[in-house]
Amino acid sequence: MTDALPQPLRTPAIQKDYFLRSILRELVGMLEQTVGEREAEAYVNHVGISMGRILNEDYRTAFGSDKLDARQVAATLVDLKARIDGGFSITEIDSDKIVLENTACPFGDKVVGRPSLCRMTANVFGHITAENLGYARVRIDKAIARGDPGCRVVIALSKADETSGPGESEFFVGTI
Amino acid sequence: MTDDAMLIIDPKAQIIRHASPQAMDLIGPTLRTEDTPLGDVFLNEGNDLGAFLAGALSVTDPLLSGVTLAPDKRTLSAKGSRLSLDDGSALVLLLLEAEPELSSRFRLLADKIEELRAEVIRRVAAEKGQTEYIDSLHRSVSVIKQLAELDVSSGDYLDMTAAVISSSFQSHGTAVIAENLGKLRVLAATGVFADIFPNQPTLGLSLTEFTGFSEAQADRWKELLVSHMQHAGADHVSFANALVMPLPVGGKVRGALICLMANDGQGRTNVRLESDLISEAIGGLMARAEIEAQLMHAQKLHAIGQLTGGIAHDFNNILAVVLGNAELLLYELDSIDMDVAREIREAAIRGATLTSRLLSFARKQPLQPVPTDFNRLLREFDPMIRRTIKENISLEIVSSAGLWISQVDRNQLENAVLNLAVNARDAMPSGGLLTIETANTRLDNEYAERHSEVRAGQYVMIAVSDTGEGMTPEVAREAFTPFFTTKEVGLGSGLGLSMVFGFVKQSLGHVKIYSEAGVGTTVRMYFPRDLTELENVDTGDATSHESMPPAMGHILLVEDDTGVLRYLTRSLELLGYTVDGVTTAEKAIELLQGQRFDLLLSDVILPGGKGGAELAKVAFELAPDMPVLLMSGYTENSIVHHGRLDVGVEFISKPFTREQIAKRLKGLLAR
Ligand SMILES: Nc1ncnc2c1ncn2[C@@H]1O[C@H](COP(=O)(O)OP(=O)(O)OP(=O)(O)O)[C@@H](O)[C@H]1O
Ligand SMILES: [Mg+2]
Repeated sequence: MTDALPQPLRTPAIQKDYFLRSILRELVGMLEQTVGEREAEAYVNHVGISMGRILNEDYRTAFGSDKLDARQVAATLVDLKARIDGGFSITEIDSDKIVLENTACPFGDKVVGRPSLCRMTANVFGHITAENLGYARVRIDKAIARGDPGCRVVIALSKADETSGPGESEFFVGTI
Repeated sequence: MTDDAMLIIDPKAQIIRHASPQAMDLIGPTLRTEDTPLGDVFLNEGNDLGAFLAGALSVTDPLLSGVTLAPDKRTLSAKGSRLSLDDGSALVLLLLEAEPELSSRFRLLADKIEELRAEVIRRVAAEKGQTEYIDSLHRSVSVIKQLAELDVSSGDYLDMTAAVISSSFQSHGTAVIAENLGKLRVLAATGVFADIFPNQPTLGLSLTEFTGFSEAQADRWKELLVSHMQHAGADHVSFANALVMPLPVGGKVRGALICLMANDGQGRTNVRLESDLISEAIGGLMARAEIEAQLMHAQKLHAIGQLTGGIAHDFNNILAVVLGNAELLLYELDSIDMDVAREIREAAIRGATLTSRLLSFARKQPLQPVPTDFNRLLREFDPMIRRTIKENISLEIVSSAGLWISQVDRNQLENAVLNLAVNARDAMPSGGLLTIETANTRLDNEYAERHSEVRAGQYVMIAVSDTGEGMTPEVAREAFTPFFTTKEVGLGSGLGLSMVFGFVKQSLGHVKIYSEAGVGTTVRMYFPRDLTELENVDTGDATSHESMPPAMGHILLVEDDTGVLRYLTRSLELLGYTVDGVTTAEKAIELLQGQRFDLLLSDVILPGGKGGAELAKVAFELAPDMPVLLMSGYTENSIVHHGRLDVGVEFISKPFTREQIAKRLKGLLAR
């Protein structure tokens, strides 16, 4: 019977990954429209923290250590992003901060117009960093999702002199 | 802040440190103001709650999740935020909402969608309704158009009506029920009804029973009709989806239309409107058919009248000769064959009565209407009526007081009453009651519209009723037709009611039969009220029957029929007159120019240029004092206008007996 089914001239480029990203984009879009961007972020925060928790365990196991150091954390973040097509590269790294930049988003062009998805990145990065280095302060300077040509994520490793500025999220060791 | 249901939780200690009053309200008695164990309040299946609180504690941004209450498994929406304390430690601030925010929004959204959906359905329905409304109007218009095109004078117009309705409503059975010949019948039927009611059966329901319901009782009305339909044979037919509509004729219900529909679903909303329009149209059709039938009947009677008038004219001349000669025989031959001669005369008189009635029917009887008090006329005529009826019939005359005057020909009125009395007598062979009654009445516009040849106005009514065998509707319909009789040969000529009809019509009146078989008959005659107030109304001079002395005088006689001329000349001579007889007006004028005559007696219809009326005019110029008497067996418009003789013209109907002519001549010459 399948012989009889027609074949399109060009097979559309739909892969598992593309397919899942599309689903994600649609789900988040629906969430933003339904509960509003701010509330959607609160949901995504929760998901991001949970994802961070899982990934953190995976990398700790991979590095064979209970706690990653700063370089390991930086390597983790880059590797992570590379694996999921994040294309991030570290532009700065010192005892104070890690700065990552990219020109493509892990969510691909699906992220444009879905700023709450940035919370995913912020939370995963923030959570892994804080869990291993004790604290993290994440700021997203530029975001493809907001229409910028690329993303720039600054992860500060020490507390600010004053309370965190707008657009900044602080992460602490979350184990109870 | 205090308006919210808020908890402050120490995740490490697994204790709710603080709860706002709203949170207490929301969660219930398991929650104490201070230090409630987390496990008393929330479920923590799979450490979901633990992970959520840990997450909330690890970041300064709020996290959203759902939490489940331990006692009643209610789900609440929870927003957890890190609350940093001065000592470097942190707590979690948990804001709770009765309903997870997301689902509340979804619910609102769902409500909105439902509303929109309902609105769309409503609009679609409205649009559909409108289309249906237009469709049903279209259908009604098409039905009404088809109905309007039906030829109501054809006997089967109701069958065609039923067919039109049936196809328009896609009915598998349509029946038209209306009154015919006094009973409600299924007059037309299609589909299943056609098989059940093939021969216009009656429904055992009278029109009054049927129409005695008010608007509010419409359902009972329908039930009654349907149950009678079922009783009459349609017992296996389902009337569940039947459309039953009354048929109004002139504002009164006169029948019904039953239309069986396949289902009552489609277009149900407009069926009411549609059926109202259509039943109104059918009612109009029936009204039109009734009027047209009446008109046809009137036309038929009119045509017969024309024919009758013509025959009567010729017949009269023949009779005149027979009668005249018989009389001469009687006079001249004392001894021989007197009985034969008498028989001839009797036969001629019967023939004369016959033609007189025919002429009445033809409305060609010369009438001499005079203002008449009907009550007085009846009083004086009473003995004559009593002589006519038998002893086993009692006569009652009911005279209404203050009766108006009407202008009628008294002799003809007496004749009419006598004819009706004879009919009544014949209808009551074993006795009964004969009632003659007078009254003032008004025939209104509505009545006038429903009857051809009737003008609305005030009338003097005279009604003759009996308690006899009555007439079937079929007989009543034909009763006025000349020569229609149900009586045995020799017992009735079928001209009595024809005479009544013609006379009443010629008098600008109206006549109507109300009869029910087995109950009795009433014939009502209406004569227009005479509004020219005439105070001295007398009943006419009583006829004197004294024997006449021989007459004297010179008469000019004009008659084209030589037979008539001959016998008349002899008759007049026998009476003692000198007679000059001629056959044309021209010859008469010649004679008039040469000598003096005491009287001119002329036929109305004469050959050649001048008729009797013209001759009378010339004679008046030549000899103004000379009386003129016109005679005819047939009256033309030249001397009768609207049932009356021209003023100043004296007239005698042919045939006449010698006594009748003698009396008239004597009266005229005595002036
Ligand atoms: N009062 C009545 N009751 C019952 N039937 C009547 C009555 N009057 C008339 N009819 C019916 O109408 C028919 C016609 O009546 P009509 O007076 O014209 O003629 P007739 O009585 O039959 O004959 P004629 O009057 O010429 O002697 C009658 O034969 C009879 O069937
Ligand atoms: Mg009669």
